[in-house]
Amino acid sequence: MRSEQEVGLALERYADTVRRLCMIHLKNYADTEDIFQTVFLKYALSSSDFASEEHEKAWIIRVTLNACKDLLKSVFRSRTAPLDAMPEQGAALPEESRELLEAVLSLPLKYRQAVYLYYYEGYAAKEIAAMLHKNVNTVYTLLERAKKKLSSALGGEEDA
Amino acid sequence: MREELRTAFGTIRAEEGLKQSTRTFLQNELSGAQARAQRAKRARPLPALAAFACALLLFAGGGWLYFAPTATVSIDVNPSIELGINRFDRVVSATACNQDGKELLEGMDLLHMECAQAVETVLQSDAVASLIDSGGVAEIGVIGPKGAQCDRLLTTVESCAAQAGGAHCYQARAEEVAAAHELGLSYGKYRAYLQLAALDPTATPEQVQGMSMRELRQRIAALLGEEDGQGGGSGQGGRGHGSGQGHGQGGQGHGWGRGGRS
Repeated sequence: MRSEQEVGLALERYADTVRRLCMIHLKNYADTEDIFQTVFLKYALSSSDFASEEHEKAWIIRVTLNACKDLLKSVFRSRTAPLDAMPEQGAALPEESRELLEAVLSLPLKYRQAVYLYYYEGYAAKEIAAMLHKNVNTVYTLLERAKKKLSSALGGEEDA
Repeated sequence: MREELRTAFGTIRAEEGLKQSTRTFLQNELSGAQARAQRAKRARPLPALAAFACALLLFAGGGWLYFAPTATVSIDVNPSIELGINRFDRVVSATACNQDGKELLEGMDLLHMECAQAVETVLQSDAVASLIDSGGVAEIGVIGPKGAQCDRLLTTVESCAAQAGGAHCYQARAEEVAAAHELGLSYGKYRAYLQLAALDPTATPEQVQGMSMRELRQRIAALLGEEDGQGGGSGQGGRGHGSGQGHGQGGQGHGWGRGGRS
């Protein structure tokens, strides 16, 4: 079991990452709270030794992805909310970012995951394939199709 | 689009309230987990105690299985002794029924011996062997519930008696022996006492206790009016022992029985 201080540092370091992954998957604040608790409690109780910060971050991402997947599978999950119900900060987003995020969040989950991990977290297709338990070529296909869908939704811009 | 996406995603931050509620949750959970771990540590002696209790029970149970006598072998010459035999046919107790018996047992350690070995040891001891050689009579009884063990023990003691000569073997039920013990007699002497008391009502268990089996048999034979035959009787005994024919099943038993009836 990790010390309280260690867990506090990890929460500061990875809270934003977990929050973004929650946004991609859940769009629901109450479920987001559940995921935060699950992920950081697992971290606190885990005895895994991380070789580097990158390794630790990858662990957090993988645990968050799995926790979100489990929550989505849960038959008791009935709390879903539309994107614009995104709390507090939703209104504070610049117009351009808000539009883009809405376009991303309107994509099917498999595209959202690939887009976030590739474009924001900067993982290679091979790493994303390992995280999502998918074939590398499938990841390439997902990214390609997501890009086309986003371009189409945003009015034909395509430069990535 | 790459940069725009990075910027857009970068604007998403974990709310302070969310971080704070997570912190609070983790503090509660982790202190609870620590308390549980401490409780588990404190509770650990319980399984250890349970294991110890099981071991103790197993040991006690094993001890009970070994040390509980399931049959008794009663040996009467004049020394009268009783050997408690466990379910594994080993001697778990040796009790003297009279002073001669005490003296006999003082000179030997029969505990944990196999029944056959213990009976042989007694019959071949100087005290008993000399008595038998001089015409003494040994009565060896197997006392216990009717069953395979008593049958087996009877065969064993018959075999020992055949080797020693001058011994008569019989089998009796435990209930019958209780009456003998009440009078302070071994079962072999009790049987003789009953026979004697039927012929001489003045005979007491105390008198019988101090008499050897040979003396008892002679007394009974005398009371049966076989003084003449008594010489023959003792001679018969002598023949029995000397020739060895008597070990035969019943060589001696047959001798007594016949004497008794005639």
